[in-house]
Amino acid sequence: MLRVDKVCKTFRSEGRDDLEVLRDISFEVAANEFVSIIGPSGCGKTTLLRIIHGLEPATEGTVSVLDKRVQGYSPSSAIVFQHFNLFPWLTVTKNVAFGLEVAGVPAAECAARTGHHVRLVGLEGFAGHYPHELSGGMQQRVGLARALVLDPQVLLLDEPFGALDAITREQLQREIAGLLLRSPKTVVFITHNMDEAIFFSDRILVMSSRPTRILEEVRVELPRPREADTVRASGEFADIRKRLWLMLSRQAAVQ
Amino acid sequence: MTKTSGRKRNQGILRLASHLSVLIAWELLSRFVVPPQFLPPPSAIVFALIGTIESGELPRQLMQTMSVLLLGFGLAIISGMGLGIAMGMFPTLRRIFSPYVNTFNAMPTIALVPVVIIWLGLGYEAKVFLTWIVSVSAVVISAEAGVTNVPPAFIETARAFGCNKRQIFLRVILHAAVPFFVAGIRLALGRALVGVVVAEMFTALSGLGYMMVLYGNTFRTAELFVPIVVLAVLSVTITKLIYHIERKVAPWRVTQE
Repeated sequence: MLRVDKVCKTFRSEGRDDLEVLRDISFEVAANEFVSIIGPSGCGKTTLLRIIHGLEPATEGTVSVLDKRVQGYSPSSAIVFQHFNLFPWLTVTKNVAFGLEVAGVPAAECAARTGHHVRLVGLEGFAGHYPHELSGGMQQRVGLARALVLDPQVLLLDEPFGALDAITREQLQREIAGLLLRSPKTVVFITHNMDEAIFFSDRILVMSSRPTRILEEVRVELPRPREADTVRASGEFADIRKRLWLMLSRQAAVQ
Repeated sequence: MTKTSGRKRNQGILRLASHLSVLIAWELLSRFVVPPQFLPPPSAIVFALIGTIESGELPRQLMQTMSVLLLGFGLAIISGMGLGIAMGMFPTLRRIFSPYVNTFNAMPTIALVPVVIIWLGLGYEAKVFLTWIVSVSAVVISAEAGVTNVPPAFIETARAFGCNKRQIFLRVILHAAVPFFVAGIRLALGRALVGVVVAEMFTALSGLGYMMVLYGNTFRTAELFVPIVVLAVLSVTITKLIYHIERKVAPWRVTQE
C-alpha cells in the first residue's frame, strides 16, 4: 500500500551547516497494516511523516501510495496531530468537514459524511460546540474524525495521545483500537511511547537518533482484539518492551 | 445560579449607589462651593440638554458629527484593512509602506490640520479627511499584525488538509486574524472621535465641536457640557456596538475570555 524508498532528507540553509535528518529510510506498509515508528525525540519522525504526506519534499528517494508516487500534497493520506490543531473559529462539525469542503465535495455528501463521522467518534451531542468548549480527549476525537472523514488510504498519526492525560489516553486508545477492528485502515503511527506502540502495532520500526536510520523492525504477533490489561500482562509484551528499551536507551546514550 | 445572580444584583446596586453619590456630591459642590460658570451642577446640564434637544440644535449638530465620523471612520476601516492585509501577505509591500504607516501612527496627526485646510479648505471633505488620517494607521498596523501573527500550526494544518494558497488565506488567515482586526478598529474609533471634534473646532465650525467652541466662548458652561456628555455616550455606545459585532462574527473568541 505505502512504499517509502531510500528517502533521505537534509535541511540546507545558508550560513549554517547542513542538517541531515533522514538517511536512507526504506519500508513498506501493507494494506490495513498498523506500523509504528518509534525513536528518540528530535529524530525526524515528524519530518518523515510530512514527507509521506507530500508536505515536505524528500532530498532523495521516493514515497508512493498504491504505486502512485507522492509529489506535493497527497490526498491519499490524512493526518492526526499531537496538539489537535483544530481551528478555534469552527464548530466541531465544521472542523470535521474542513478537508471535504476544501476538496469541493458537494454540500449534501459533505454533510452526510461529516455527520456520520461526528457520531462515529461519539460527539453527536457536541456538533455545534467550539473546540475551546471541549476537553482534550474530545478535541482529539474531532481531530480523528477530521482525518477519517476523508477516507484516506493511509492514516498518519503523529503522537496523537501525546498531549492527553493517562486516563483519557487509555480510553481513546481503546476506542481507536475498536474502530480499526471494525473498519481496518493502513496506519503509520509515530510515538515515543513503547507500550502504545506494542498495543497497536503489527510492526514497529525503531529509529536511531540523527541522522535517522531504521535500526530494526520488530514484529508484534499478539492476537487481536487486544485488551490493554491482558496485553500488558503477557510474556510477549514484556519481551518486546525489553528489546525496544535496550535499543532506545542505547540511542539515548549515543546522543 | 442564584448565588451568581444575587452577586450580580449586589454589584448593580453598588454601582448605582456610587454613581448617585458622585452626582449628588457634584450637585452640592456646584451649588454651594464652586461658581456654576466653572462647573455647572448636573441638574443644569440636564436642563441644557433638554433645551438643546427641543430647539433642534443638538440633533442637527449630532447628525453633522455622526456623518463626518461614520464616513471618515468607515473609510479608515475599509482602506486600513485593505492595506494592512496586503502588507501582511506581501513582504515587499510591507517593506515599502511600513515606515510611512509607522510614522503616521507615532506622530500627532492633528499637526496636519493647517496642511489639510490648505489642501481641502474648511468644508466637509477636510473634516472627513482629518478623521480618516488620524485613525487609519491604527487599522493598518493591527490588520498587518493579525495576518503575520497567524500561528504556523494553523497554516500547517490547512496545508495538511489540502488548502492551496487562496484557501489558506480565505479559510484560515482571515479568521485567525479577527481578534487583531477588532482590536485595531477599537483603537481607531478613539482616534477618529478625536479627529472629528478637532476638525470641527478648527475648520468651518459645525457639529458637536461647534457647540463646544460657541458655548465655551460665551461662558454658557451648562450648554458646553452637553456635547461633552453626548460624545462620551457616543463613544461608549459605538465601543459596545463593536463588541457585539465581534461576538456575532467571532463567537469562538469572545466566549473564550
